[in-house]
Amino acid sequence: MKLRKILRQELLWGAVILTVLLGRLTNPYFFVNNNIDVILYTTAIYGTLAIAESLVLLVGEIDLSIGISSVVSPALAIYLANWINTLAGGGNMVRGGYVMMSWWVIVGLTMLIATVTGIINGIIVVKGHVPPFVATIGMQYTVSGIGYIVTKGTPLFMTRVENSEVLGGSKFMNLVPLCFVLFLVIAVFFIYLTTSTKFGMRVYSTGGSTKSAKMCGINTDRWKIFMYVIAGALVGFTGLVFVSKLQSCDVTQTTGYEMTALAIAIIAGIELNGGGGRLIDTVKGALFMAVLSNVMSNVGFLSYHRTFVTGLFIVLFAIIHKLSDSKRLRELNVVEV
Amino acid sequence: MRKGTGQIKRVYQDLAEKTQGLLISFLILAVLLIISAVFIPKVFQLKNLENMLRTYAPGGIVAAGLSLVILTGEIDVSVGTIMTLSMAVAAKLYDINEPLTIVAILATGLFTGFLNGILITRTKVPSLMLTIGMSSVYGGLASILVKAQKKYITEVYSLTNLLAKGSILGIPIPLFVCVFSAIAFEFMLRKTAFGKRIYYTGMNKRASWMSGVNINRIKVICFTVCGLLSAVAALLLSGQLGSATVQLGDGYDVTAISISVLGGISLSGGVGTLVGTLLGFVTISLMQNMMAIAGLGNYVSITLKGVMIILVVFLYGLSARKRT
Repeated sequence: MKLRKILRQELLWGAVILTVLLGRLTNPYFFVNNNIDVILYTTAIYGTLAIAESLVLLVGEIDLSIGISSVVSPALAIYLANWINTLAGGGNMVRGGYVMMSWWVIVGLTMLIATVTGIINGIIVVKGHVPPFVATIGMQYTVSGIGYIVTKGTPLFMTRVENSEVLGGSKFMNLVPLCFVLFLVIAVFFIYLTTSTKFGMRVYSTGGSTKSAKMCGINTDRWKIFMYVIAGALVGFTGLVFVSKLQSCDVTQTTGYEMTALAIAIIAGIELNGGGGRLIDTVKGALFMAVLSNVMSNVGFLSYHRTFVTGLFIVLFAIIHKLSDSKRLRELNVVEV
Repeated sequence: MRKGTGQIKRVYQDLAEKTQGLLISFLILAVLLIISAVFIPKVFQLKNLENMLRTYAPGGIVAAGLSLVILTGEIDVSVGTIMTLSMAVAAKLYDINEPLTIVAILATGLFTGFLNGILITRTKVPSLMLTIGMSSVYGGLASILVKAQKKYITEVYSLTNLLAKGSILGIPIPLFVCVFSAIAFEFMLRKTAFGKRIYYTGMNKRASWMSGVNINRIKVICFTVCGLLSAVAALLLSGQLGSATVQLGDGYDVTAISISVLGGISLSGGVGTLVGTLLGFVTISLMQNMMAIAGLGNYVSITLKGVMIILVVFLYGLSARKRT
């Protein structure tokens, strides 16, 4: 009886552990260093995007452009740097598909572009009063189109950029992938922000009931835009990790990562209307998805099997979370319509 | 206030009333028509018009069904994969018996729509969440069924070809289906009690429920119809393309939503008409056709589509807020 209660409370840890066990069962090399590295790297990517999406969801909005933005921002950054350089009289910094510029320039410009995209998203949604679903899908198309126009669909290679493999490929103290450690830092930072500070209070209030928050004097517009901006920054970081790990910048890479990020948020119990859910659950959800993804590819599931399984889990978790929420509402004598 | 501004406002309001709130859609359509008349006169060739409307008609059919769902206040992003799944089921049955296959396609659409509706109304999970999940489920199921292979729809399947490529009195059948569904739904929405209840459900779920409107039944019916129409669209689309792949429905969810939104349907429900959706269908088809003929390339087309969606919804939002 107590076990069931523990299971229900720690549903996500249970899911992670079960999947890990499943992984070990199906793959004798599950705990090999290489495999663990892959899982941790995937967790870092999924997790950062999921935190970005969760923050936007917490204020009651949604952002469907994060996948494409993460892939296109580095590309735009490189072309922008190149253009500025040629304007200033320097040479072409992209020769034969190989990028020849400082890594830190790429980092700076990518973060800038991604953050600006976040600002644009925020302004369209909050100031333009465009429903976020429509606005971010529109941005998804726009960013994707711009990315293609600028890069003409050709990939860029990072191998000649010094220090470019550090972010994605290197290990912290030779033990754990650096990107995972950075993800943990980001996660801890945002978890602390949302649970123990006024920042968190404002975010949850804005999402839970925008009208009430406004009447309490919270500038909901500013907080919503702020979340979009933070999401943009996190997306830029993720893009850099991609580029660093794969050592290439390819706009044609169809990501679908925004769906995964959304799936993780749903699995973590973050409510789509805002104000519900915890970021720590998002982290657990990201770990779960990463392990699940690893297990599935080891078992030999092709991409369509994996989308099927992911979809099943989204529906399953959405129903489980909703059932417990319905129970709470019933106890409060609120009849759901 | 100067006399001039009052008159302009009155003209605007007069126009807005005459077009029943679809002024923005009409304006955008007019702009597109003018641009194509000046720069791309080829668009107006009869053959091109017929082709364009036939090719993009499946999108309009899905949009008609989706508009009903959006009017009730829900959303269904799984329409694309319902299309794929319907044809995946068909791929297995085509060689057995063609009429049976068509029935199976429609049945798949009906069933998946019904499933969506039941899940949403019983578990009260937000429709966006649920249909995102179900979308992956249907899509994966479709791929598993056909093992991600292509299915060619040759001339052997005479009925499908007749429906997809044929015409009645010069009007392509897919276009006929699209226009007919939109007008039939519009009639239902305006003249029947059921239609009015759809609007009530969308405008204020709780008040309608308390007034005795069976919102669950209305939602389930709308979702079912949406699924059915997606299957119809899938049939007509694959008939035209001559093949059915697992990417059949890709992008149709966004296209259908764009068409509905362009036609003035509000995503929060209860606002909008099917006539508007029809208008939106013509506009998007025209836009895509213009860009194809002008040779603008896929990428510019994608960007423009994105910008236009945002712009249109923004304009509609402006006018809605001006009224209130």
